[in-house]
Amino acid sequence: MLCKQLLTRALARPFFRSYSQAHFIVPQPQFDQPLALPIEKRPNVMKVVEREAISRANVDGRSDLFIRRAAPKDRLCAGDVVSVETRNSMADGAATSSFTGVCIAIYRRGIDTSFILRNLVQRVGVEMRFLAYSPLVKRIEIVHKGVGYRRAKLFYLRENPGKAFQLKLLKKTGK
Amino acid sequence: MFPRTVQAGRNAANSAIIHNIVPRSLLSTSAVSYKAKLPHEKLRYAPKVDELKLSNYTENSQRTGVIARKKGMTGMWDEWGVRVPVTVLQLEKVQVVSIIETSNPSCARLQIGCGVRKEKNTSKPMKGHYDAHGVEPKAKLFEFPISPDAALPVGTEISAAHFVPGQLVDVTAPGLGKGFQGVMKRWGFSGGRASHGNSLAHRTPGSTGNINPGRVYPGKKMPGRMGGKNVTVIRLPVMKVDTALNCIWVKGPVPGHDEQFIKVRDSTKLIKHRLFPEGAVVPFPTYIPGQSPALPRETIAKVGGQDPLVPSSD
Repeated sequence: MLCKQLLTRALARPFFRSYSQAHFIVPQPQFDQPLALPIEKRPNVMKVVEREAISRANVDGRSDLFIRRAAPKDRLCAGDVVSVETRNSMADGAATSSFTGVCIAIYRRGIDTSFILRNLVQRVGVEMRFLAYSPLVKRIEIVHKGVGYRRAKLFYLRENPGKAFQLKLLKKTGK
Repeated sequence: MFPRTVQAGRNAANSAIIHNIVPRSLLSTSAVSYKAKLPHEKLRYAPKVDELKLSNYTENSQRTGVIARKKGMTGMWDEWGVRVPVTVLQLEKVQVVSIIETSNPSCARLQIGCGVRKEKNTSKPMKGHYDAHGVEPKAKLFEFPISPDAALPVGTEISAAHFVPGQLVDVTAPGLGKGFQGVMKRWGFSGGRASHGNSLAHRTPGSTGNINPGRVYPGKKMPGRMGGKNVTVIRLPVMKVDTALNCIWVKGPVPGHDEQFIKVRDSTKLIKHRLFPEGAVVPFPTYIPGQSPALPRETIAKVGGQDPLVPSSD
């Protein structure tokens, strides 16, 4: 009787105790049940997949920056000066690069949510597009909230740089 | 060369003596199979499998394939931080409907069914087929060739854990229909010049033949209906297996539209590639919930190799 109990318990335990030796990776954190809202009786597979993926990638609450309905002071807006720190590779955690710039575009596409930062690097205009939920993006920080920008996409800044790129303001924001 | 076949009947023995027909027992197997041409004499083989039991996967084994539904595309990041586009394929009540009888004992076939079809939408012949095998009516049926040791009993449910993360699969489905298309899109012709006096012949096929034989060959590439044909994409890696949603994520795009039935099977054209990753426990003949080792809900493939974001030292 006891043997049977032990056997059933042994069989119920996962086969791989440590997944480092296995030929696969187990994503952390694990969701034993699919993340479905209580309203959804037959949840759509793609919605559940996206929800789980964003929930996993949202390690430091960065998804709050991309909620369209949030107040402008809480979310990322076009015109904010943003600093992004990226890992150079997944292997080396210490090696990072950082880029600061004005956010000129935000693309809200679920797991592929991205934004473009523009800055002048040695008098050359440089734009960088970052995928918000990529594991290589370590930190997204709003350095300075933009004031007076009335567009969602600020592509006009390529021709008309405006005050954001004047040296005095850049010195103030520490870049 | 071979004597004429003898109809089984009352005078069979007498006929055999008169026509000098060699008894079946003395004929070689090849001769027997050559002789057995009439429908009632055809030899049919099917692997007998009564219980569902794990066995060992060998190099010559061929597991069954599966019918899945294309749900959509998304992206994921592998262990190196590289973004991988993936297609989500969901297995909906995939069951073995019947074991097809074949004329060659070393080649077996399984009929796999997927999805659900309402009884009122199932025709009587198909209802009879499902009732005969004790399976609910399915939306889609397809046959997969297997090796006899990979045979499954009728009614076995195949889940997403049948696939191993990191293995290669071939994916077959009808591609998107493109309608009536011209020769440039359909066959990749170059068309004509855009300017320099070209008259009304910018996208035309040009000449369709020579003065001899003075006709157009059958099969000449011309405009016509494009797309909607079966397309197989080979060697797609399975990036992730999700047992709760019963879906597999394969890398890259898959032919056809969303909600389409896709036939997924282990890759066969592997000269330089490995079918299963090293150290993988292959669920053979399929993943059996009570017997196979328990797996976590989601398993992601290990891509391995060198870090692509670190410049290699040369």
